[in-house]
Amino acid sequence: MLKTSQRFSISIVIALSSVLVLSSCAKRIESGANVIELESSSSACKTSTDTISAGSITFSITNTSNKVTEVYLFASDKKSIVSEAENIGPSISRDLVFELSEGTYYIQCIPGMKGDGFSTTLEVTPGSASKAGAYQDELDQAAAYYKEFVINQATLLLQETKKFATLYSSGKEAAARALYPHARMYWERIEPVAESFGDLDPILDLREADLEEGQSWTGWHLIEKDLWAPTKGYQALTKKERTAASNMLVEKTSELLTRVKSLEYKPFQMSNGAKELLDEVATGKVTGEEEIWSGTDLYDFQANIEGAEKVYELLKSVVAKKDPALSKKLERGFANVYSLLDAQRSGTAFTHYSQLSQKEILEMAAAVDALAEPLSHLTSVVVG
Amino acid sequence: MTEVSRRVFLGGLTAAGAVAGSSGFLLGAGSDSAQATQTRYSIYGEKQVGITTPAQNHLYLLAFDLADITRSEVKDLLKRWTITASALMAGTLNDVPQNYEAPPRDTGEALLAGGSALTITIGFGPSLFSTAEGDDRFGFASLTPLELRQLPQLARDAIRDEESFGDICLQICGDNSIAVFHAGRNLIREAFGSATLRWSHSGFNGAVPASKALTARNLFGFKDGTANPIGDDDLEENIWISGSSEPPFMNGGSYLAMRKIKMHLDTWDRSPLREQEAIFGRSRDAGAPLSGGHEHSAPDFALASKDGTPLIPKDSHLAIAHSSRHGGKKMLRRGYSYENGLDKVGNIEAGLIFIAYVNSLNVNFIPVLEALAKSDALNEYISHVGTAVFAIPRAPRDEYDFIGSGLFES
Repeated sequence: MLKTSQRFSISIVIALSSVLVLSSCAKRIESGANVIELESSSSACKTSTDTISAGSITFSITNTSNKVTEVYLFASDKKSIVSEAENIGPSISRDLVFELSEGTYYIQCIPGMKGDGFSTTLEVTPGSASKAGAYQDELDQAAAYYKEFVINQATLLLQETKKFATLYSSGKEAAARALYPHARMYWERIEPVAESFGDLDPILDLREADLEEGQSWTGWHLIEKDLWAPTKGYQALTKKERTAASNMLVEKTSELLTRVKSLEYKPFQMSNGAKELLDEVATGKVTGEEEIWSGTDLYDFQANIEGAEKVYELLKSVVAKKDPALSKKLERGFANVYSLLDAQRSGTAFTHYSQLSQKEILEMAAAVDALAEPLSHLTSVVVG
Repeated sequence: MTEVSRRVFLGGLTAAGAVAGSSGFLLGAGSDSAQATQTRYSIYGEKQVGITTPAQNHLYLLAFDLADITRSEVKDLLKRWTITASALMAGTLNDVPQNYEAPPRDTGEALLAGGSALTITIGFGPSLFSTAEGDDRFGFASLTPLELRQLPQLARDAIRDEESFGDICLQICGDNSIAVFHAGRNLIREAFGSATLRWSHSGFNGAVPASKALTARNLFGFKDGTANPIGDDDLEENIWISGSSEPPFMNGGSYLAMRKIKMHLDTWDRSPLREQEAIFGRSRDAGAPLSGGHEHSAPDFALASKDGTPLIPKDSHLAIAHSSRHGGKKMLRRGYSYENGLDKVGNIEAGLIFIAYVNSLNVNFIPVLEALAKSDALNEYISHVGTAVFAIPRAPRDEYDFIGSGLFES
């Protein structure tokens, strides 16, 4: 389905250019005294204080110049960038939160985004913060492993897609139906990455309900409908149409694999992706809207959760150190969702969505919310 | 009472004519409720009220399907509705001698509510003129407003028939929720036997008094309606129909487009502010375009970061919907938030009753709707579940006229 593709690509574009976490919950009252007002004007880079104690610090930036500004925070060597905030339009205010350890820092404001701009010094006195960049190696490692994971899933996806396409186009419908939900799980584990390719996603995963007037329909769900055809008013695909649909599926999945091989990830993209997987579950799978014909929503559900859990596992060592309480909540959340899914599973087969009671659906939705809520804070913890 | 007189003044400026005071109230409104808004509008004039009238705090939007009645019964219903609506707006519904043995004319729950700046706006759906099968049910087909047809099916539409369409709509707005409900209830009573209620949507919008001329916020926390047309010229150009080839009763009228948009609050509330602002293309609290400035600053879509990415993302709501992307054409948005219990997975069923007024659906509205459906970053967090369009006829001229009288003049 097309739904998240734009969002994922936005977050890549915007967030790549800034390492700072913009925190919606960083209101003054919560962050105590560690707030620095920073004004980037057309003639100065001015802070409300030049000394602050180490810890989580909120920079409340206001651009009073008439140009787009950017703010850099340099370490004492004046060369290594600790953090940066770019693309702040005139008159726009933005709060940014991150951890600073003891030391001397230099803040540079560059209205107009050209030249040296203006700078000022910030002394950070001893406090509770860990050293800036302390987790960088672990995070880099996590990102490298995630890349391997995505390539692995995409490789298996292609392999299973080819099998499925052959079964379907050669008329082995029962075998194709049996393989369908399992093959799709490789897609669902890496769904936010797959959807970040705004051209491939609609070709491969568009649902009938998402079509606009006159748009042609291709991909998994077209075949799904043909394999689980409605009893009334449905015209089955011809042999030729089946072959075309199968070929398209294989061809585009192959292209997906090629593309993910050259993708690199930042930790925040992984954590945002994990949150998006939970969004997918909440809006598509718990509601039974994703697999409307086959009723195999719980397979997708399971795979989405596994994809999110993979991200958490890779980031766990950092999260456990920076926010142990969040770690606990997430582990409890995953366990809870899995136990509900396990109750609907026998071997590798899940209950048909239509067989779920309203009570079971509500329990699952509540468990997804309970996991998604702490998961939505993963990015600010990992990057902050 | 400066607040009140200012409202009357504003109302007088934009609406067909405001009637100040609580004339006709049996009890002095001042002694009933010091809080009640005394502003009253009149249903009579050239243009209907409830369109450019400063948006009140509450909405009750009703759509009716006419029963299998005759043309003259339709006429009677429109007459009764006009009289009752007029009395409701003037606060005189209870001003009739009451037979002790008969049900009260006025149901009574709003006797303390004052004027409440009540407006009742009436519109005609495509099916009033001819059915989907092309049946000219009441002999109005030759008078069908030129652009009156249902909106096209768009990508991701999840339209529920039972919350869409309809022969006639009544848009009831006011500053007091019980006054608004009361008006709807009494108008529904008036229709028994002639029309059945097809759907009803209740909306709220309370954070900003209309008189402050501030932009209300939707349930995602962003301002909604910043780019509305302002000033008579802008309104004439975009909202009111005049001197066109439309049937005469549309002269001074408009079109109403309704979309019931479910907003997925649970997933939205888990998204970072960075993403939320990128989706709308505006800062949340100030409402300024991300290219800078203040709420009403013109967005600069060309302003880019060093890597060439626009500060206002291309797929943001602002970038896609802004009038500068649509030949300067605007719509008057008059939306209200709604809450309607739980959805089937236990989340709050809530969102926006989107209402827009335009003088051309084909030019001012549908292209924007289509562009948004195609690529708005917001789509992930919303579903369009209801749809309707109505032609808004001119207002009844005076007490001797009724709404839609032009339908019977041919």
